[in-house]
Amino acid sequence: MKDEIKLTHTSALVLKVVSGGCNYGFDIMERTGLQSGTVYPILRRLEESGLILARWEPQAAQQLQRPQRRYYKLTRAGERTLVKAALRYPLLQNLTAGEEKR
Amino acid sequence: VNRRAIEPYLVARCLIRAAAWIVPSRSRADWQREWMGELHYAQRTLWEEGRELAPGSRLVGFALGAFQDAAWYRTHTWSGEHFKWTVARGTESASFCLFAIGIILALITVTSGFLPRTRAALLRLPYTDPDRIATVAQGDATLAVRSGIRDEWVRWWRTDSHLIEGAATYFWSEKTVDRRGTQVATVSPDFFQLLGARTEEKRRFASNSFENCGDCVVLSNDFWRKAYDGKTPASIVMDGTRFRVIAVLNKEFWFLTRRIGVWAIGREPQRENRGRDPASARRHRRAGSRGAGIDCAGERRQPLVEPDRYFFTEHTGSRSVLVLRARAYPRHRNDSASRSREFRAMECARISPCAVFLLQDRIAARRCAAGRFGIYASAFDHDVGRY
Repeated sequence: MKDEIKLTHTSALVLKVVSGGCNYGFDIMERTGLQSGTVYPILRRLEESGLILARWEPQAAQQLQRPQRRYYKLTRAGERTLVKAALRYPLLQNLTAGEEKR
Repeated sequence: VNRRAIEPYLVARCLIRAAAWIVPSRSRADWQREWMGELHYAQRTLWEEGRELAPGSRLVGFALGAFQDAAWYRTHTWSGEHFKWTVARGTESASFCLFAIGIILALITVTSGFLPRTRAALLRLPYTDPDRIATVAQGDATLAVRSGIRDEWVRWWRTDSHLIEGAATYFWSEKTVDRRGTQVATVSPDFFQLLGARTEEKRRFASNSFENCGDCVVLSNDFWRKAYDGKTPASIVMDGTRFRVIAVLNKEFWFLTRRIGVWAIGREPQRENRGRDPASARRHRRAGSRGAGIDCAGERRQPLVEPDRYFFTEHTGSRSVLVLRARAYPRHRNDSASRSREFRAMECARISPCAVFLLQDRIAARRCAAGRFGIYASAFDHDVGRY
């Protein structure tokens, strides 16, 4: 059932960026150019759909005297959905190609 | 960190804290923690790396997105949706409606059972035809400034009025009855008959019930049960004087307050004014009649002369007010205009400039323009709430 989830182009873009290694909300904003008010609700929806997983970074981060951050990573269902989304949105690959090369 | 970096950061923090109130409480801590973590990182990235021309605006813009995220949380959380769905389905069911009606009825029953005022508002007053009962007092609408009615008016209402079926007087005070303090009302002999009160044996009071009865009292049902355990004493001692008990009132009966335990039968108003002085009586007569050449409207505008010098020498008793029962009008005269005209004419001739008049099927209230010594009258069921 999860594989049948149809993503909007923006959601697919966020999912693609997460799969590319951007795990934090602000990083995703920076990479996609989307506003925080757009990125975070998308992340909530993707998490609710089981396409990404949210976790708190290890406690060791606190030793660096900064607040803990929450990171997101793709689930297997997310990976399958991303493959289908790439077929549906061919430009998606081009939009993130530069980032992947980098 | 310079001040230009700190201010946007603080603003952004405030915005995130404000947005956090939108998020459901059970998710709020985690939500805020994530946003604060990202804000800290964003601030460091934007300022330290110097990638932005206006990093402050970017930071505040970032924080403003928290409101959209919080709104999403509020409207899309499963528990919220589930709760709304459960409530919506529940309210549509017949059992829920029956349950709600039951709760409302139970509340009404409980409050009407325990609160005398609520009960008084819901239940019909225990008098015969209570819509035709009115209380009249000289003074203002509040009990504190009410005082007695002039004897002449009482006599006039009893003998000459075409509108008033009967007039009874009462007043009450605190007294000691068989070593127990209680409120004692002193009423005129026609008081119970006028109200249609019944005794414990469901017997009505007649016009001759209190003949030759200067030392008679009637007990209220509540006082009878509490003080005498439901056994009727032959006599009671009230403030050192012995009185005969001739009846116990039905348990439904009450008047103005339920705290009255004993009802003493008083004398007629005119006989109570032993200290009436001839001078005030002369003034009284002068104020009660219309002078030559003064029409009704003119007299209505004329203020009472020295009202405070004679009003209180001729009242029916301290804190006393009058009970009036309006006479039912013949059908062919059942229009308020003719009633009003007739009554105003009588009123102007007899008790000017005050007015107690009948409108439609109720005794309506009208305060006369005689300074603070006006007559106040109202249908009884509306008047109850003020006591």
